Amino acid sequence: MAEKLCPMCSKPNAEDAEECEFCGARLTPLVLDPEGQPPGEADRRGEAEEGAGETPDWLARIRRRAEDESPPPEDPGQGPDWLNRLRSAEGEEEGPPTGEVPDWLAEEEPPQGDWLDRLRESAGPESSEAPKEEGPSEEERYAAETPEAEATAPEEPTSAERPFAEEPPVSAEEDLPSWLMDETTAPSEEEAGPPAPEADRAVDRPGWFEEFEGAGAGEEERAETEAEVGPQEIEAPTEREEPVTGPPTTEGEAEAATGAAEEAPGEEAGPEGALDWESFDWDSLAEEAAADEPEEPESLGAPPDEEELPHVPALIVDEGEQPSPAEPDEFDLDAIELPDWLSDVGKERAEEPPPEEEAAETGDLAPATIPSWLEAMRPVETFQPVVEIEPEDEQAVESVGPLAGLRGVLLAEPVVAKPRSSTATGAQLQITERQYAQAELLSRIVAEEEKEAHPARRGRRRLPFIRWLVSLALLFSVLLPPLLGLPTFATPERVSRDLGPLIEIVNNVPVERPALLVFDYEPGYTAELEGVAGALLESLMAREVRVVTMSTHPTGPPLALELVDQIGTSHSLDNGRNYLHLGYLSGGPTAVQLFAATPRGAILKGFMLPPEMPGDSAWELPILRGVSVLSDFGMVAVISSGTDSARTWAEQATPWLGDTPLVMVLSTGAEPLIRPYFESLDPQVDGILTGLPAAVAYEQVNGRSGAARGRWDAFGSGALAAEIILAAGMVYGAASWFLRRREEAE
Amino acid sequence: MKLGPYVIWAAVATATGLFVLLGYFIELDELVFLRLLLVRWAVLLAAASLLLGLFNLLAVHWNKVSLQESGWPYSSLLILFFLVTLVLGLLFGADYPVVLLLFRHVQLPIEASLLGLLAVSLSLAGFRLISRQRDVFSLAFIVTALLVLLGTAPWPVANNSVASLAIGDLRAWVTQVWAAAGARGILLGVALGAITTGLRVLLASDRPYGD
Repeated sequence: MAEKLCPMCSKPNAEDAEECEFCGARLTPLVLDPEGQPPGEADRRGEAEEGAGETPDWLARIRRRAEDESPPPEDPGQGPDWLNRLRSAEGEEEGPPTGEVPDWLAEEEPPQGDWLDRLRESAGPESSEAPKEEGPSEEERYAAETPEAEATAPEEPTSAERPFAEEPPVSAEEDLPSWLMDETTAPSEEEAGPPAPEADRAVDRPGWFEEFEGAGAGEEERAETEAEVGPQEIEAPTEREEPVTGPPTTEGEAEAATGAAEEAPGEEAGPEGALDWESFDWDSLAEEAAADEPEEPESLGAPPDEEELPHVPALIVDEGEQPSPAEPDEFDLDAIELPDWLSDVGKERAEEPPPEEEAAETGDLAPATIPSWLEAMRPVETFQPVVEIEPEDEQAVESVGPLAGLRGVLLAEPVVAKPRSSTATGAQLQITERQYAQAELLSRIVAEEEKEAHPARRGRRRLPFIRWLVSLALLFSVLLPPLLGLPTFATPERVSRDLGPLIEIVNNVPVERPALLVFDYEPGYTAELEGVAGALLESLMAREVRVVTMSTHPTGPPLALELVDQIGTSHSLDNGRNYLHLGYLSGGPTAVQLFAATPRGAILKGFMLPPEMPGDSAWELPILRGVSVLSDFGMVAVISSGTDSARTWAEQATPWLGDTPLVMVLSTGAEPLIRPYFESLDPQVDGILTGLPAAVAYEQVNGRSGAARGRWDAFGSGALAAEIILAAGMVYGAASWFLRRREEAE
Repeated sequence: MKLGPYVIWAAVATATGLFVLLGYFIELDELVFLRLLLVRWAVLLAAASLLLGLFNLLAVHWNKVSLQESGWPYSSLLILFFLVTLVLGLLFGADYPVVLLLFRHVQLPIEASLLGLLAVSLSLAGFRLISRQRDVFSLAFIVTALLVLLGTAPWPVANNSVASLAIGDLRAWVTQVWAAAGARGILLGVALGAITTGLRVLLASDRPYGD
């Protein structure tokens, strides 16, 4: 006897065994038949063919009638999947499994129509234990309660006749939180179609529906139904919100819908079609249901008139079954004939406004309120799903591999195509050692820059001994002569050759023509230039030459006022009569040119004019009478501490001077730059008086002892101190150099 | 070179310069009158620029005080005395006794003290120069300074001695030959630079007034 070894457990099995009797592994491999049918389907088909003789008559008749009435499908694959499944599973009506029928339903066996009794009787013992209520019973009941069918209905169904498949979802909703109940029930209500107005509903709705609404508030019945149906069936409506009005989305629903559409008058059959109730073979349907009752029904089926139910989800879907929302659109309701009463109902529903509009119009829906404690527990905002699950219709369909054609498969492309950081290191930067060293240096510099800069430690402060010594030496040197009269310095005996022209000019200034003195020096040079200019002014006033002062510096007029008043007072001269101050001339070199061209137009008023002056302008005084141009002055003397103003006067005023001499009274530091104007072949400067020694010499020549002589001792003492300081520096430098050389030699 | 608004400014500047320059060479009354007119305008502009400078100085120190920058107390003192002097001068005139008093007893001593400090600083710099930097140039600088001081200032003894006279002559030779030669070179350079600048402005090649 040939044996077949199990590839899994290696135990011998019979030759014709398809499965291992020890481990259950399949011994005969499954091979796809040439028609593309799955192996299981081929086996089932083979079994069906083998058992063709065992096919019940009702099924054979249905099949034959279906083959005769329905045109052959052009392409079986063109129909929707759910319809194909329904077609393939045609006749395999599922019913509630044995023992799963609620007790309340079993106890309260409602009086039903004869057709249902016959159906149950013909279905055998299994079908009697698990009657199939969702199909014909609902339609029958619905049809019986419609006004048109009330006459033909044998008896009015009671509330107990309501299919138990309608009840569990209602009970399940009661167990849910209010917010979740709102979410589950609200869409159902919306999708259930707009509820008719109260008046219309009262007229159109059947009685059982009124009772249903009334009983909808019956919490006790629902609780009983909920307890009897089981948790699996309770949870289904919460997960699915569209079983009430939508077409069947699961196999159970599809089968139920198919049964309702093909075998019984139902709403899904379409309002226009009218099913021939009288000619329908209910017996064959009962036999079919009894024979093809599934062993493990996944649901209790959906009532055919579930669209009429306002908010009760009628279907119970197993977990894992996915609804196919595209199927309802493909369900051809027009192909089914419906009775007139059902067509009217459908028309009325079509005329009803959409639920949103009605809700807005009526406004009788109370807004849902969520308890605060439940609101706090609601994980809507805090929970963020890591992976967003797309709707099924948006999920991609696998095109290759063993999962080809399936929807919702985890695709490998996003994982592969997802940009990730490269694990492989890129091309390393090729740098030289020098570049590396420079980079290190740069990083070190940056790091040091980021460090906190501590204040530099203060070194030991040394007393600026030399600075103080120099300062004190100079201070005492200039203070000692005026304070103590010591030391005294002899006046110079040699007269500079520059004094000759100056003395000649001053001595030749006409008395009737005023002499113009320009005070263009800074206040800091007062100590020096007052002595130098004082000597010149002293000689002029001694000769009673009228003196007129002006300045191109803002500080010039006060300086002129102080010096002239001081010397004029010593000579008993009066302001406005013997001397006059024109004041400040603004404008720099341009103003000097303008003043040289038109003195009266350049300076209009004057400075520190006497109160008894007859007019408002200094030009109206007798001292300036006859002066209209620069050459009308007897002499022009520029007292300057810098070179710029002296050069300006020498360059700008010379063209208008004519025969009027131009004398420069300068500080010692300005002498080198002005001397070229004096020592040229055609000198622009006629006389020059520079520095205190020249002023002292000038005073000596004039036989006067003025301010220059009074500063001579201090000047000599200070200069001597400076000479000593410089000499001391030279000695110190030489000594330190010698000592260093000696140390280096040693 | 693109033509722009600067052409107008260049034409004005060139014409003004030419008129003023020609006034020096051509003795025409109209030309002299025009030159003096332009010079008078320039003086007015210079006075206005002085005012602008004063207000700019005031604004700078005012900002310094407002932002509390370093040295703001000195700026506040400057603003205070600036305003006081300005108000007094505008109200009573520049020859008002209080203004003269402020000048005589504030500004004059301060500026004189600054020059006195300059004398001390120069003396100390000379000492440090020769004591720390012992090279030929430092030695030449210090020797020259000593010669000028000895030849200028009186000697406490033997003021009219041969040595004193010799040093006096040496000092005159240094200041009137060497220094004057250098100063003349400077003046010549300044003159050439002024001529070049004047020509550039006249030819509108240099436009200090902007484009």
